[in-house]
Amino acid sequence: MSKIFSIICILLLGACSKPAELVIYCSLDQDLSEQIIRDFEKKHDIEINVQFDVERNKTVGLVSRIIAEAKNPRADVFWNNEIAHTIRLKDLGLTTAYAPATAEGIPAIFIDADNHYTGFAARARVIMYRTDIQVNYPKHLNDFLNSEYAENGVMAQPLTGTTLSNFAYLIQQSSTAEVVQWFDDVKSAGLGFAAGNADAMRRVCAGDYAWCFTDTDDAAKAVVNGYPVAIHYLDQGMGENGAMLIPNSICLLEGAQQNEMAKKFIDYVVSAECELRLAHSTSAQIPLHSGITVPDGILLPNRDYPVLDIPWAAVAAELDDAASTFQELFVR
Amino acid sequence: MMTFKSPWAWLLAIVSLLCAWLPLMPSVVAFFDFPQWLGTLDSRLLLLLWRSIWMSSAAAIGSLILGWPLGLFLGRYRFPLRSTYLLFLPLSLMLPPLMVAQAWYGLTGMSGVWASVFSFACCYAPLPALLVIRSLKKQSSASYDAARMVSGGLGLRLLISHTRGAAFVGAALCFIFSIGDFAVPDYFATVGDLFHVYSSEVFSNSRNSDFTAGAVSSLPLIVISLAMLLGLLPWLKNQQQHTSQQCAEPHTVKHSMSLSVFCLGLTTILVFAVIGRMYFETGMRGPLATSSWLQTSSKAFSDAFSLGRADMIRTFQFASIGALICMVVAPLWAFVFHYSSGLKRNLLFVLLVLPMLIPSLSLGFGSIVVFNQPYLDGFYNSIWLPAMLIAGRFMPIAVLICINALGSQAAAVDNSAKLHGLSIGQRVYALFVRNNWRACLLGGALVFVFAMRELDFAILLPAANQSTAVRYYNALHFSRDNFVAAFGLSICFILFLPVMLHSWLSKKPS
Repeated sequence: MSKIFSIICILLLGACSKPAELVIYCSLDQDLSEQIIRDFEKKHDIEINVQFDVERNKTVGLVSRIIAEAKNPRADVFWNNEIAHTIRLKDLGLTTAYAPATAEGIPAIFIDADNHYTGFAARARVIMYRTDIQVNYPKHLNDFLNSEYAENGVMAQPLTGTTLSNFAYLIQQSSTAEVVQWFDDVKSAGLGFAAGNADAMRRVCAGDYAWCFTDTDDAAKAVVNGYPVAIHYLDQGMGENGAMLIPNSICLLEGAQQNEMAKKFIDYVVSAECELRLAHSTSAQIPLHSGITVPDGILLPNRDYPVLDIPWAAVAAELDDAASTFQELFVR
Repeated sequence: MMTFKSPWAWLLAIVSLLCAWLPLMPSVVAFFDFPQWLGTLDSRLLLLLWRSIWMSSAAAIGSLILGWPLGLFLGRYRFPLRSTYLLFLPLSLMLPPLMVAQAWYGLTGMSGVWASVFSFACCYAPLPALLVIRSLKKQSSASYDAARMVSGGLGLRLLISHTRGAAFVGAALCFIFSIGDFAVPDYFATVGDLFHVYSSEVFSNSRNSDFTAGAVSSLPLIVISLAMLLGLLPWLKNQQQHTSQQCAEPHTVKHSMSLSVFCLGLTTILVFAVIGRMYFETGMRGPLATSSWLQTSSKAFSDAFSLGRADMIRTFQFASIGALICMVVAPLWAFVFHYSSGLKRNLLFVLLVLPMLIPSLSLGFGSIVVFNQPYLDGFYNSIWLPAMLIAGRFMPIAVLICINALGSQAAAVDNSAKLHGLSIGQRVYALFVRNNWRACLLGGALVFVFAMRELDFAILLPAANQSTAVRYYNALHFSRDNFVAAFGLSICFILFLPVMLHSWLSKKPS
């Protein structure tokens, strides 16, 4: 009995903890962001409570949590691995303005006009193809319609994450009917569909397909793991050339205006130094600061390839409807 | 037998209210939108629902085919290596089903719907097996020996009749866990022909900012699972006819070597093949990689321990508290069911199992709605919140095991205690728990294991976010297969360590 009592006491003691000085919600992968956050914690000698999302929830777990906690906000900062859902939070009045000084050098198209969020360290939507075999891979999104390309390729279903944002953008540029028709046509052309970008990348690594439409961070991981693959920056432009770039975004949440440490943290994460760390990581994120010296293998937007100017606010507004459309189209 | 004048009834009500019914309320309120949701029911949703039902039924039958004979043989007969098989049997329960699925894909290249069915059957076959073994420990020696003396066939029929309640409870749990899981079908759809199940629809709806849509669309799954559990209650009641005055012991049989080989085959399918493949995956790398298998594997294990240590400790804390709450409260629930009948019993049963049947995202969001209050800051951020939700969600597992144990306890023991004027507390804790501590422990252990694997509400709760499940599924992104395999194996073996130590120490001569 005394042993059971001791166990209960240890558990109860473990249950007690002092509140953290800074609460961060982070949807960038834990293995990429955790050390960056811990270094800040160590440098400023504070206690940070960091909460992560998982790929299975595709960012939306923490976004939904911020919305659910709106009446009594818990987090100070939201570090999102994409941008559209951050804009949703802004539209719901859950973010507050803060302009980090370290954002100087980041192109204005990645920074909110009202300073509610700042974009940094991006991923590009690319074609990853095998280099150990002769591969005919698409150079433009419309090439997917050609069965010569489509039969050897795979892409994620556009249900969540960057693929959903990508096709919400296309809906915003054209119409729902046209994009649905596009999917019908690429299916007929023989294009394969996977559950997510990482799965599409795995299918190529496993040799099931010759190319996939994925993100640069997934492709970089395949390279790190020793697979014979290379990247092509897919042109998605309608009328003008350009690849799609999806940056991380960071924002100060409503209720954290007085938290100076939260502002310091945003300054730190947006800085060129942190962008460089993310560029050197296994996900090879693309730095947005101008004049930064990038590691070998990372190509820079608008220097090495053209980039689309995405109207992110309009894309964010399209996101829910697009998700419902694609759910009906694919979940069957 | 337990009225609201009894403090034990109050304890039961308060614990259930805090752990389960309060977080459940927002979803229950959302259920009133069901007629509106029915209007959206179309052939696509019906097809998804039908696929989920038959897949989960097939998985439950598969878990019976694999688990029931294994449980019967391990529980009733003595043969070479029996204790080894017994020791390793619970291991596959400690692995996330997705990991088992990945291992089988790696071993066989299987994909599609039947691969999901097979994976679920393998994941959950230890449930019927363990429950059957536990049930056999309470089988009356007199009736079993008498049946064996008449004929071997009659003895076997008696074994089957005695254990069918336990086996069906295990298979029903397999059905319920399979029908609510979308990660495994999603995975096999990814590696082969694309298909979807109904839980994908529920999950997609739950991800919206209005989580109640997920709760409403999960109602068909809830009703099906409820019907299945309610159908099981008579089986459990039937179990009450068996006495446990003199329990039958495992005995030797003629073809012990064949039995051992048979059990080795089943244990290989359930445990050894999966563990072996996972171990291989810890060192897997691409053709251009410069490190060796051993170097890759060592690094994966080193990363698993250094990165995941704190998460493991935190998860152990709230999972242990959740399991302890269940071990204390489940016997009380079992007594309530034992002494109630008809509509009252069924209604109480619905209240008990509902938190386990709704999507855990709904339960997590429900707890935010209820407990995210300025005056509850300390509680909201503490590990008590996830511990309580775990207790509320997985309580039915511990209660079903206790009901089964109570059924196999001679009714006369409790009746006699009642006649002697013992209070309900004394009867539950001094008699029942003392005589059936293994059943209570098994219930607590299963709750603990399921708590370790819980992901969806772990993301939503402050103290549970830095847990093993979140780190594991976070790493599942990209192709960090080495780390994922090493971390999964590490969790599994750390959980398994006490079982192994207990087994070895209990073998030592005194």
